[in-house]
Amino acid sequence: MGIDAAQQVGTKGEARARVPPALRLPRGVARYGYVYLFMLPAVLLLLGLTVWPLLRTFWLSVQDVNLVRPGSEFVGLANFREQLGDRTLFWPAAWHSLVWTVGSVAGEYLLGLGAAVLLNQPLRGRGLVRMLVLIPWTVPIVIAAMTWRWILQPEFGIGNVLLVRAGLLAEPVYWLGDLSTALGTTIFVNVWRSFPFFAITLLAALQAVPKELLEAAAIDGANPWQRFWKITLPHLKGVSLALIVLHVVWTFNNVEFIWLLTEGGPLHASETLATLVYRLAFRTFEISEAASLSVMMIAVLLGVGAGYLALGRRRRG
Amino acid sequence: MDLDLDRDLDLDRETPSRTPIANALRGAATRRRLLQTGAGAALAAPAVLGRAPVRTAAAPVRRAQETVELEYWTPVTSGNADYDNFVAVLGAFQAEHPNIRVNAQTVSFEQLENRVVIAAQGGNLPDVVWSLPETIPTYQRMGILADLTEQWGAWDGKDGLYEQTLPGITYGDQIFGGMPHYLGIRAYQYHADQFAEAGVEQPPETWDDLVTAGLALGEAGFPGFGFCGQSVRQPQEVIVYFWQNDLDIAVPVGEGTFRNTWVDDPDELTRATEVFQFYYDLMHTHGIVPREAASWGYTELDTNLAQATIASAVDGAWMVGYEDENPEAMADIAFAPIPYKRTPATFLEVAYQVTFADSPHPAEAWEFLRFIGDRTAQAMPFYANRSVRSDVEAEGKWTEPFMALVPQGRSWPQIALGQISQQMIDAFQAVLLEQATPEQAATTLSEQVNASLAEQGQA
Amino acid sequence: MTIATGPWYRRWPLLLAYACVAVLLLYALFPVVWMVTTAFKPTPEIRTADPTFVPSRITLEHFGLVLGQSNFLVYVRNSLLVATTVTAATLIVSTLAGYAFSRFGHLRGITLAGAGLVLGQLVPGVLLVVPLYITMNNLGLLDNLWSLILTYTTFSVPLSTLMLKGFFDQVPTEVEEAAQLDGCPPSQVVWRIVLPLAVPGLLTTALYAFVQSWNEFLFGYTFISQDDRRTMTPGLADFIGLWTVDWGALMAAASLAVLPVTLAYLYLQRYLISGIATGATKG
Repeated sequence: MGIDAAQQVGTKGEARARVPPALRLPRGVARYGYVYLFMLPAVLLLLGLTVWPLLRTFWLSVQDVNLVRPGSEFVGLANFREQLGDRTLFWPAAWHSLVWTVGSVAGEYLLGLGAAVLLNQPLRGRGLVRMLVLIPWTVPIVIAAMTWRWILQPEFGIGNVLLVRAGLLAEPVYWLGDLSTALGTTIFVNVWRSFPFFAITLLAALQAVPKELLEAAAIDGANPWQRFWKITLPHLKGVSLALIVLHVVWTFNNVEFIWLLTEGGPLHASETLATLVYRLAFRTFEISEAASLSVMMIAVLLGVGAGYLALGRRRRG
Repeated sequence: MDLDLDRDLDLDRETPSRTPIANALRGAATRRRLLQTGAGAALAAPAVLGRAPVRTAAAPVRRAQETVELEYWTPVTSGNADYDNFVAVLGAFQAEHPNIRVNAQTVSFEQLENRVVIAAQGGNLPDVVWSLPETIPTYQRMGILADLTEQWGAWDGKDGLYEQTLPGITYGDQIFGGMPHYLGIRAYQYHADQFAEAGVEQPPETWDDLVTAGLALGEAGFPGFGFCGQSVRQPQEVIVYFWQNDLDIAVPVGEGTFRNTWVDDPDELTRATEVFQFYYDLMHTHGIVPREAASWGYTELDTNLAQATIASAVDGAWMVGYEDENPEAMADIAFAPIPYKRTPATFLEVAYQVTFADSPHPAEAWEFLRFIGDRTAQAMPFYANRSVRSDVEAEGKWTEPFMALVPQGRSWPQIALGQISQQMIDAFQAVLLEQATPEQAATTLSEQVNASLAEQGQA
Repeated sequence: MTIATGPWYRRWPLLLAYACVAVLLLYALFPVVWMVTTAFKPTPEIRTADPTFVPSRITLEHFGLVLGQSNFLVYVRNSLLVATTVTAATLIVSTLAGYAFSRFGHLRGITLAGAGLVLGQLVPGVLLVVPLYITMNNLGLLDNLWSLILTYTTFSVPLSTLMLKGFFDQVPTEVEEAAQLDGCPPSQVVWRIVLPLAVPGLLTTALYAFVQSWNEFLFGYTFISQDDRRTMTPGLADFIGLWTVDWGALMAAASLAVLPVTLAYLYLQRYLISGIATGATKG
C-alpha cells in the first residue's frame, strides 16, 4: 500500500521535467525527500541523545576510567573479564535479573490479562473500576517505593499489622529485609505498578476481537473456555508479544524500583545487573566497569529484540 | 492557562543577577499575565507571594554589577524543623555582606556526593557545597578542592574550633576545601522508663554491661538494643566498635597510603573478630537485638527507637525531630556514652562547608566559609546546639550530653571510602544473616579493604 | 467469556466476578488509600507502632504546608510545562516519523532509522546520566527546562513512533491518493487527512509521553539544581528532610501529584480504550 502512495507522489515528476538536469537531485532523494525530512527530527534526537552516549559507553567499556581518579588508560577487554569472573556479585546479579524480569513480566501479564477479561464483562461500575485500576501506574516510582517500604515494614507497617490481626501471619515478616523474600517482594511491588498498563492495553485488544466469531463458535457449541482459548487468545497474540518484549526491556533496565526498596540488599539478595551498574557508576564511580556491564546488558536485550523480530516475521509469512 | 513558554524555558543561568528593578518589573508583568486566569493565579501564588526563595531573604536593594552571586548547595529543605533557623544564618550573612548574594539550592544528603562528582565532570561546580566528612578525601583525590592554607593562616577565629574538626581538612601542613560547621555526635540513647521497669539502674558502660542490661530488659518484655544492618549509617556505627577495640579500618603507612592491618597481626584479627562476635551475640546468642535489624536502614532504626519498640540504640541528636511524631514514647529518652570495650570512642561527624579550586569567586566563598565558622554564626540557634566551636556554650537536653562526648570523638581515616562502606555492610550482614563466621568476616573484610585501597591507588 | 444471566443460583460466576474485582481493587488501591488517608492524619497518628487506616480526626495541615509553605506549586508548574511540551514535541516528531514508517517502510534509509529507534529503547537510562549531563552542559542547558524536554522527548519518541505507525497503517491510503491528485502537498495530506483519522492513537501516545515525563526522577534530579526550575518528582524530596521525613506532607504532595494524571485518564478513557484497540491489534 505504501507503494501506491509513492506512485501518486510521482505525479510531481511533471514539475521536475522543467528543472535543468544539472540541478536535479538524485531521483530517489527528490521523490522521497520529504519522507526523509519527516524522519529527520527523530533521527537527530536519537543521534544526539542516544547514539552518541552509546558510542561513549562502548569506548568507556574498554578503558579504565574512575570519575574520582584522574587519568584513564586502554585496558581492552579486562573489564569484561573481571565482571565475568566475579562469582560473588556478577553471576548472582545476573540470575536475579533473570528472576526479576521473568517474574515481573509474567506476573504483570497474567494479572493484566485476568483484569482485562474481568473488566470486559458486563459488570456494574465497570467504568469506574477501569479508572481506579489504572491509578498505580500513575503514582511516581519514588512515592510508590517509599510507601510500600513503609507498609511492608515489620514493626510499624500497616500491611504486617493487618495480616497478623487477621490471623494470616503468626508474626510480622520483614518482607524486604529477609534473604528469602526480598527479591520476591520487589517483584510483587513491581507487578502492582505495571499490571494496569497491561490491563488497559489487553482490554482494548479484547474489545477488538470480532464478536461474530465468538457468536458463531457459541452456536457451534464451543464452551466459554474453548472460545477464550481458541478464538480470543490467538487474537491477543500480536499485542501480547509487543507488550511483553517492551516490558522485558524496561524491567531488565529498571534501577529505581529495587534501589528505592532495598538498595539491592540484604546482602545483595535483590541485586540485579541494573542496580549493579548504578552501584558501580554512582557509589564507587567506576564508570568503566559500569559501562562494560551495560554493554553486556545491551547484548542480551539485542538477543531478545532479534527473537521478537524473528517471531514477528514467522507470524507474517 | 497563560504560561509563557519562552520566558519560562529560556531563562539562562545569569537571570538572577539581572537588576532588581528589571526583576521587579518582570515580576509585575508576570503577575498581571498570570492573574488573567484563576488557574494561572493559583500556580503563580507561591512564586510571587509564598515562601520566598532563600536567596532573597535579606538582600537589600543595590546595583546589580556590584553583586556577586555564590551558588550554594545545601541539604536543608523546608521540610526541616529548623529550616527557619538556617535561613536566619544566611540572612545574617547577607546583612553583613550586602555585595554577596547566596543562591541556596537544596540537594538531598544522599545525592550530594553524586551531584558534586557529576558536576565536576561537566566543569560546573557550585561555589560552596555542604559536605559530609566521608566525601572530603574523595574530592581531594579529584583535585577539585580549593587550597585555603593562606586564608586559614590569616583567620583569627580558628583557635576556637575543636581540634577534632581539623584532621578532616588537613593534608600535611595545608588546609584544603572546607570549614567545619557542625558536629553530628553519636550517643547511647535509651528509654529510661523501660530501663527502670526492668530494674536496670545505670545505663551500660561496657559491652558486657550492654549484654547484662539487654537480658534484663528482655525478661521485662523489651527488646533491649538496636543497630543498622545497612544504609549509610551502618559503617558509621560499626567503626566505633573497632575504635573501641583499638583498631581502625585503615591506618596510614606512608605518604597518602593506607592499609588495613588486621590480616597482618593475629592479635588485631582477634580483636576485629570480637567486634563481629559482639554483633552476632547481641542478635543471636542473647536475642537482645531483633533479627530484623540485620536489614534495618537508618529510617527503621530511628523510627523503632522513637516508638520505643527497642529500648536503646546508638543515635544522633536529630532524634529530637521525632518528639513531634511520638511525643509519649520519646518523653523518657535519656543519654549516655556509647558502651565500650577497651577505649571509649564515639563517631564524630564533622560536616564541612566546602569550596572548590575553580570557583570564580574565591574571595567571596572564603568570606562565607569564614562567617559560618566564626562565633557569631555558630552562636545562632541553627548551630548553637551542635557547634564546632568550644567557645559556644552547649545547653539543653539534646545538646549537653552529646557535646560532652567530643573529647572521645573520632572520624574516618583520610581515605576515599568508595566500595569500603559497602564491604563493611556486607561483612556484618553475612555474620548477622548467618552466612559467615565472625572470623571469616573479619578476614574477608580486611582483604577486601586492602584490595579497594590498592585499586584506588591509596595502598 | 461472557457470564451467564439467570436465576441467582445460576449466577455464581457473576458473584465470583465481583469478588475478583474486589480483590483486584484491594491490591491496586491499598497503598494509594494508605497514602491519601495518611495525608489527612494528625502527625502523632502517622507513624506509630499501632497504625490504623482511619484518622481520629481529619486535618488539612499537611496540605496547607505543601500548598502554602513549600515550593510544591512551582514544581508542579515546571512539571506541567515540561510534560506538556514533551507531549507536544513527541506528537510532532513521532507523527512525522511514524507516517514515514507506515507509508515508506520499504526505503532503506527509513528501515535503518527504524532499527535505530528500536536500539534506542534498549539502552539503560542510568548509563546515560553522565554523558547526557556533559552534553547538556556543553549546550548550556543545565538548570534549564529544555534539557529535560529534549531528554524526555528522546526517550518517548521511539515507542510513540512505533505506536503511531500502527495507527497510520489503519488509515486507508485511498483518501490520501485522492487528496494528492487534487494537488494537496504531502505535509497537508498528513495534517488534513491522516491526523484527524488517527486521533485515538494520538491521545494514547500523548498520555504515554505525559506520564513518562511527569513521573521521571533521575534526570530531573541531575540536570536541575535551581529550586525554581525543579520539577515535581525530584521536588518531592523536599519533604524528605535532612534527618527525618515529613510523612504527612510527603503523602499530601504525592496525593496531589497523582491527581492530574488520574483526571486526565478519566476524561480520555473512552478514546484511549478504542485507540489502544486499533493500535494494539496491528502494532
